[in-house]
Amino acid sequence: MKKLVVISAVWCPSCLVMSKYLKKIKENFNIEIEKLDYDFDEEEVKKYNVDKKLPALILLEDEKEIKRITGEKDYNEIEEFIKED
Amino acid sequence: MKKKLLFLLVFILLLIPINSLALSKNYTDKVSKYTNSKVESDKVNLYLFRGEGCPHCKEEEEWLNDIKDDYKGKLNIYDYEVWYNKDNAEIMTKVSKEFNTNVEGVPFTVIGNKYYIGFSDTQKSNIQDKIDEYLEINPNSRKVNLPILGKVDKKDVSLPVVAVVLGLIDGFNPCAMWILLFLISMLFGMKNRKRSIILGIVFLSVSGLVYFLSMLGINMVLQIATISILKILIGLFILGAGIYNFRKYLRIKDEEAGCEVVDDKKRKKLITKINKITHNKSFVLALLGISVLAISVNLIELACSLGFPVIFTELLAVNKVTGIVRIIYLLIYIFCYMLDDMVIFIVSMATLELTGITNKYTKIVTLVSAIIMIIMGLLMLFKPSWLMFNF
Repeated sequence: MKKLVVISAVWCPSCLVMSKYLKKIKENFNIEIEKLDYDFDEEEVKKYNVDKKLPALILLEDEKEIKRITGEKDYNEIEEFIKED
Repeated sequence: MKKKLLFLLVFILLLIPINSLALSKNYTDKVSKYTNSKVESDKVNLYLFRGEGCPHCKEEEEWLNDIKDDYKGKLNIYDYEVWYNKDNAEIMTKVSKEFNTNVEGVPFTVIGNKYYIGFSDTQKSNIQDKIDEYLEINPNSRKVNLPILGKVDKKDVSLPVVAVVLGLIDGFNPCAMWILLFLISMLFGMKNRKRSIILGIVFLSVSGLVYFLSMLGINMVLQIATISILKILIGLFILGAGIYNFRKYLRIKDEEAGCEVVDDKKRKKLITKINKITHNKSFVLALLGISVLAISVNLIELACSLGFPVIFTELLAVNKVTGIVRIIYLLIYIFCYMLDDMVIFIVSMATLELTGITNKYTKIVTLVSAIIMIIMGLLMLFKPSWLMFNF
């Protein structure tokens, strides 16, 4: 089972811009999306070892990380990211 | 189509000689008999009586030199120093008698059968309108109609355009955008919507006011600072800021767009602060808190993007923009500067969904800012006259 963890922050314009793409991704693909906030879900976020760039998209399969991308991406880039293996 | 173009071209060519020979029949030179200056059939003579060391005379002299080129040789300027030169003073007395008055003050300007005492912005347009009238130039051809500012000399159009462009670019500077986003997200949590909207508006207004007052302050300092060493320092500062931004661009150019996580401690402090403010039971205290927050945040932001406010206020200073016009220019700048913040606030409040503006253009904005700063810095240092928009 695949799962997409999205780490964003309320103060990050790029994260806000991407939230609508992620909504569409959720509609079009049957994938679980877990949203974490950099400031408010501190404990959870720590587990993923996020460096200095937000948002961070981490793809998990059976709770194990397969790959990740960071920074502002558009819909097509996110789609490519979760599709290709 | 070609025929029409040809017809138009011939028509325009026919107009040119007529236009350039035109001189109003009302024009008579009442001064030349005392000064023996040449009266040419297609030119207007302007006589300026001035005193050495009189600041308004100097101002008018410089201004006349500026506008002279606009008339492409159709305007002759004769000037007479009357404080130290007795012969010239005598001429001035005779001329003023010719107009049945007794003028003693300078500058004293005579064009045709009209005279002007003193020099001010109104006098400027009076003098120029008179020259236009005699040369049969439509004074409106010099002016364009702009919103808010009304009729503006074409020469002065550059400044409002610069205000809009610099303000918009400055607005894209992401220095304090995150605090606004944070504030909005906290405001969503408030039950009372009216209160949250008022708090947001107060935050934005105070922010604008602080930025406005800071720019006005910088401008006032620059206005009186005629000391050349200070001008050089400002030029160097802008050039330095440009180079700093260019290096920043080189650093981020290959990075992906997105949000940089910086200042973890500072952010945590601000989160608790904003939280306290929005949860304060007393509305007055909340208003006070939000105002203090806006003031402190914007002073920090001003330091973060000082380059553009300094460039713009310096432009106002070298173009000698003062009084109400200066306030209007600063307000135009501030409006454009705040535009992105206002859009985000309004859209977020209307849709109850936090909206951001893409960071994909951050690199381009950084590069453009760097280039503008470097050019402006170099001009301030080596060609300050080009900044006076006297093209």
